[in-house]
Amino acid sequence: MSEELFNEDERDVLGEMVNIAMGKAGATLAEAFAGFVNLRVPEIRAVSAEDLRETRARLMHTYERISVLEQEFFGEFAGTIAVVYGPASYAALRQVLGFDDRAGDGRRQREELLLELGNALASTCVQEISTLLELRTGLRPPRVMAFDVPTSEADWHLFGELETLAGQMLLIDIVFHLEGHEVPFELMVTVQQNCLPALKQALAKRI
Amino acid sequence: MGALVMKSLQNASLDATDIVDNLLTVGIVVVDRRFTVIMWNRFMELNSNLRAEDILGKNLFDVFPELNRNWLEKKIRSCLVLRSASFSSWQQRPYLFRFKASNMLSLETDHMYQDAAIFPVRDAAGLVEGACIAIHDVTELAEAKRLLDLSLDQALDLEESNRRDALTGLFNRKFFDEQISQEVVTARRHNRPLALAMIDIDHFKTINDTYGHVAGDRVLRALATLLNNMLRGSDYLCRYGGEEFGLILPQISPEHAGILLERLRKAVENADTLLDDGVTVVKLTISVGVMPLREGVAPGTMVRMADELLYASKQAGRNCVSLYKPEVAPVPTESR
Amino acid sequence: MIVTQCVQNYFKIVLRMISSILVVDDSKSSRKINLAMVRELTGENVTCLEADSGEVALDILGSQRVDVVLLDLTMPGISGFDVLAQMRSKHLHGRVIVVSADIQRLAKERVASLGATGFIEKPIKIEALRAMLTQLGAIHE
Repeated sequence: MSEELFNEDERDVLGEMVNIAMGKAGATLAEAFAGFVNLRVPEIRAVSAEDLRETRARLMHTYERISVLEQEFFGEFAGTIAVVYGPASYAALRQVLGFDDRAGDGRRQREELLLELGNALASTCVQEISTLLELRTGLRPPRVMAFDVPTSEADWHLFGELETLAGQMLLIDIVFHLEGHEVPFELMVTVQQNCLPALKQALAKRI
Repeated sequence: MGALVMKSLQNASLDATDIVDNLLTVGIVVVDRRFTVIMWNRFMELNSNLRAEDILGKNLFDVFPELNRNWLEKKIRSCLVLRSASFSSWQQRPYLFRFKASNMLSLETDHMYQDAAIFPVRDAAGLVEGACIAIHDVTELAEAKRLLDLSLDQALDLEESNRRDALTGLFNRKFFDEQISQEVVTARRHNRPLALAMIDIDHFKTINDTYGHVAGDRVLRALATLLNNMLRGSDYLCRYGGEEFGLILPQISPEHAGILLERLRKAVENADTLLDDGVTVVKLTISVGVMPLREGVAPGTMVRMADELLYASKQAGRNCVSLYKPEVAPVPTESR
Repeated sequence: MIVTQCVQNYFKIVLRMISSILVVDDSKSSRKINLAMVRELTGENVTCLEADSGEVALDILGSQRVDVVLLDLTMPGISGFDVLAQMRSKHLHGRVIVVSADIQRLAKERVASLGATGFIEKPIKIEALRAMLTQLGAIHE
């Protein structure tokens, strides 16, 4: 990570906070799938528009088809969360989240499942980080940006806007590997540039 | 946080619940852990025709049996357990409560579209003891989107009709001319093969004269269907002229193009076209010229050469396929 | 003799020799916090060691006697799960308390079946550590 944004100690403290948030979200996901979730060390990076190329390439490599949800969080801690799903086991999700079959298994029902789970993961994650930072945040309703499309098509949805920003953004990448499923779930949190100073201050307090 | 707000309101002698109650732009329903209704604001009263005094203290699902109990119960429980908000969008679920839409607007819909947020409510001790369902009327938004989608569909239809031949449903000549240029560029950029076939119905004039123009149209449509069924999704079959067709074949080698067109020719030869009288059967044959993409050949030249090969097929007795052979007819050099 | 035994039984004091504790975590701030808490609870008598990775932890465990291990699960390279498994297969000594943000039920079950003595959720609270160390006899009630 670039030295400009945070120093080593600040990065360390932030890393632990994300770790805790990831653990909570992971537990929620584990319940949803009634299985084990493999947690890896989350990636926290300062990225410029060019660095996104690397991230895009990785996404193209990992997922053939994806669904992408987007959810905004605002306040003292603000930014966007993209929830990236590979082909999901809709049947498993429906059972656990308790959505009945009466409504059918069409696209709207599947979108609803993804939104439900995505919202639970995203809000758990962001709320936990903001609580630990003692910064206030709220979440807006999530939206489906892409539903089961080839990864190259979703590319713009994920990164289109970020490309236009100058300077560095803070990108937090949390990948959940579900045991027995090849394709992971992923949360990509982009923190808004203008709340980075407040974030830095909050971290400095905890070193 | 809540205590601070309460104190502030108390100091101003204001009733906090009055705010929520009179909020007419948002429906507020608060239930406890057993889904007993503990708050029902004016929005809900007016839209449901159910007064607060008639529902407070009752079970939500007893009063509204048409609610999707399985779904809503689970959603509320989840909110209580996770202690965080969840959402529902009209785009996935048109409404929670089936209320009538406002009758002021000229709407296509008879029910209200709703976005909802469900969030936990804490007691004085700070424990989550209830859930609040906030209902937003988004009917206007939904209607606007519906109209937008309709306009987009219509625009796409219009675009489609500009590039289609009305009779056969195939792509038209205008499309063909544009597409062949595009395909040549693409093929050259990615170093992929491409072939073009010009197809002409043999003795079509005779068919028209013998059976009439209606029959002629029938024959054209039947041929279009027959050929299309044998092509790949990436191929473009276009009506080029009265009885002439252009076939653009991306990603195909010259040999395979020849094989494919021979297969098509044979299928046409073997096919019977039944006319509208239900009795008369017409037999057809086609003549074909096949021109593969070659270095230094412009799209226009490619079409011309395919046409010349078609002519050669006619000369050779019709009902045959002429495939370009470099040693027989060298390509005239010209700049691209 | 009998009197001493009665007294001992009466107070149910179990005395064990705990002389060293190893803290394993890839995060420096996490190690700092855990060590600080350990020192506060155990005082001067206990040697405190630290490792910033599973590999280093196994090296330490293989080369010296460690009584109690505070082990993180999510680490790059060898994970906490791997450390537990290797401690078992190599018969390395040490009672392991897992201190982790990975709080899913199956994670707790797995570390238990891999031989961990206890689990403390992050962010670690001193009371939880106190209770765990008391249970292990590292500190007295």
